[in-house]
Amino acid sequence: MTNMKKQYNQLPQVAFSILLALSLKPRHGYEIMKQVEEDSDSKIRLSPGALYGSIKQLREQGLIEEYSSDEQGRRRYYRMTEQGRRSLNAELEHYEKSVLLARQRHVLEFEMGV
Amino acid sequence: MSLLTAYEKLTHLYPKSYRETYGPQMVQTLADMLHDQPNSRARGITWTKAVLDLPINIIKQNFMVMEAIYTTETPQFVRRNSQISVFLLAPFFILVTLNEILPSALPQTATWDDILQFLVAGMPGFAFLLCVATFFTWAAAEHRQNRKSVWHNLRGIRSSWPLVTVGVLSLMIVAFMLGHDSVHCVMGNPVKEVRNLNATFLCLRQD
Repeated sequence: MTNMKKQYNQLPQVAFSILLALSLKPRHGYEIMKQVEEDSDSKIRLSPGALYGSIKQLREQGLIEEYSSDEQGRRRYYRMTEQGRRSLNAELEHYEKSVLLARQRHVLEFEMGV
Repeated sequence: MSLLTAYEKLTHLYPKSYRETYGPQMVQTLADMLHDQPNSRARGITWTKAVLDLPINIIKQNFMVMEAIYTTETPQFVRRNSQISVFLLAPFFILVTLNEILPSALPQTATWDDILQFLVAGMPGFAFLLCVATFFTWAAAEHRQNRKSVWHNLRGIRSSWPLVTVGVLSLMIVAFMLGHDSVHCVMGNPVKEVRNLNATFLCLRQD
């Protein structure tokens, strides 16, 4: 239980969303921002300040890395590392278990027929 | 000045290492965002949101850098003496807070006046002296290591920022408690000023 909680806390919501956005292909900042917004049905809208703060943190944790950049270095592409993929998978497994548990307990709205 | 130039200027408030790596990317990302907006009103809103989001991130990044410096670059004795200085300042803040919450809680006897005076003015004074002594010791130690002048090292407060912060705070407290004409300010002595901080501030403003 403690391990699960620890694992869950390892990825904040924004970091999870960024990793999910990078799971398909390497992207630069604005592409990440748009993908996160699309994935979350516009519930998560990142500003440049928040985005690059999270990118810095993810890089320091070794979950993403710089892939390439344009000539001026103003658009840098980021991609997920193997460690990032493992971390994202662990997080997704945690969510999957939580959803399964919620279904078993009839917590989800569609399960309750609402 | 264009919106992007103004935003770029604001990114200079980030720590240098962060700014060099992410500053141009942030500006480019904002440029992309503005480019996608249909009209100038939407561009204005987008820019304003991006700017409003900056302060909290700037403070956060600066704190992270300061924390990293504190743990990796600040010498052990500077850290220890900074912590002792903070401990010496604690009674001042506790008594001021206590006095604001429970105005009549502090004892009124002459003996207690002396004790309280020591706690609210004497201990911050010791804290200030400790910071100054440690700062000069640190600057001298740096001088022995890097062969640059003591004055040069005194200006390089990067790794001694905890000491400078606590030292300046101590000096401000001591100056506040002792540095003005408290006779004119009704209260008479630092302890009574702590007992009635609002009146002291009012009096100082009138001075």
